[in-house]
Amino acid sequence: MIKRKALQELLATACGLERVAFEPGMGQEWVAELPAEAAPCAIEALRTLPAWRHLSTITGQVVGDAIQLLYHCWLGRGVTLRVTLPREGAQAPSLAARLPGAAWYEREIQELLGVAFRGLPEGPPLLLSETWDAPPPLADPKEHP
Amino acid sequence: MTTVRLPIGPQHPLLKEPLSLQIDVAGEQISEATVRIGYVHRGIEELTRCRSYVQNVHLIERICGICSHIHSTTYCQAVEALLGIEIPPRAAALRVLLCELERIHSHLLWIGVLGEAIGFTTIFMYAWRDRELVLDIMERLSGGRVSHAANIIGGVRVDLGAEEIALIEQTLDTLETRLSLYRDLMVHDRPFRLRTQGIGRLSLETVQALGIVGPTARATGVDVDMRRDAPYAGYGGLSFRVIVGSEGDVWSRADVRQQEIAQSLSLCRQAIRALPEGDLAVRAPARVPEGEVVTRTEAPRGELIYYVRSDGSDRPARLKIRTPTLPALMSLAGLLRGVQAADLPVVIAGFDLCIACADR
Repeated sequence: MIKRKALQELLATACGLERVAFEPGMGQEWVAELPAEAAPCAIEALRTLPAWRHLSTITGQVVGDAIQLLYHCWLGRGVTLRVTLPREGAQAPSLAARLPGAAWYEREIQELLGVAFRGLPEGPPLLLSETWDAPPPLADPKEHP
Repeated sequence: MTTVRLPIGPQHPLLKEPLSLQIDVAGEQISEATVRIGYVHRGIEELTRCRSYVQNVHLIERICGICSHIHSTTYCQAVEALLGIEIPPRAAALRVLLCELERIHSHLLWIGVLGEAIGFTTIFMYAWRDRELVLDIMERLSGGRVSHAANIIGGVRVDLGAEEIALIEQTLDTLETRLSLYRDLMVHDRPFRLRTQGIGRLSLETVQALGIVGPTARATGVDVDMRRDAPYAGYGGLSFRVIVGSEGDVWSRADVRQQEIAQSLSLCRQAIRALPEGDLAVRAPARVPEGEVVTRTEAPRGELIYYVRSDGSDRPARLKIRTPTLPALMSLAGLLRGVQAADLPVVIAGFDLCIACADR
């Protein structure tokens, strides 16, 4: 069983931060906000723990003027790492080289939201057609009537 | 040696759902493979933003024609968590019952598909015959064999009377008897073992690196099951064993699933024998307070995760779904390299892929 405080300290050390605190408000999930570039180091640190099982997925979403990436991990309990990127020219380091399971989740976010993942190998589109030439469909969320 | 490129899919008799495989075959061996999905991408995550939380229950059920109930269960749990409401104990028990019936029919469907892939059509016929018994119960309870619309936000809309309980008990007994056929198949049938043992073997490292979940991961030795690790609905009060294998091949996956059916039969019995009296649902407001939530459940194919964010209106601001097939699909291309071409159907069937789930 992982301890909340120990996990916060581990993430702070791995990301070179003074402090990491889990914020309340996502059900049973422990949620920590990290700087945009810190996700690979944080995930790498979590993977050293015996409780680490898998990266469940990455959620990408537009929230106001920002794009949020949520890295949902399973370590015998849910841990989500949140990074916030500017909406214009959003980019983030790819986890795919260290954790191949992240590749398709990153490709999906790249396609649908237009976030560029540095280091993500080029490949065919994951969900959209090869002939899709419009902007990423979820980059500018519409208000539906 | 000359290499021949075989396009398989998106429409192909080998495939049950649209998926595109490009296979390079050198002699009898696959030397390279690529996988492409997206042919049944319906944009369901975005579509949920156009509909109210209540309407979305029915949309969500249509992500998958096999595990429709676990999708709506996971979604309803997420919305209920945002609303801060707790469903009545009777509703929680009925959700468990339907989840486990769904697991049984999903596993039986897969055993049939695997039987067909190895040319053992008798098993296909038997497994799908037995699956019908479960679908009959689903139809009796909800009116639907595929989409049950059993869940509502705040509980369920189906109930069991004495007659239904008797029917379910009788069906569970029949399935228990028939389960011995599948157990014998795994243990004693030599052709079945020859076609599945050592085939499509996934290593523990691959499973962990790709985040593969469910029976496919458990067959490789990964001891994770959301029903035990993050209990939801009525699972907290029920006892069952998480089945873990070790070989990671198609045989091991089949063995894990047939043992899981036995556990599911037991869970169904526990759920109906200790069925609490009381309401089926609590009233849920149409507007959901601002907030976000992650919920995880154990679908027949493994961990299903939903993220829902509300902006305080009557529709989700964001709904993200990761189904268990997606990480399994990531491993398919790598796994096919070096495989004998004749084993291709077994390796593909061996994953229990649900492309509609993966594409959403």
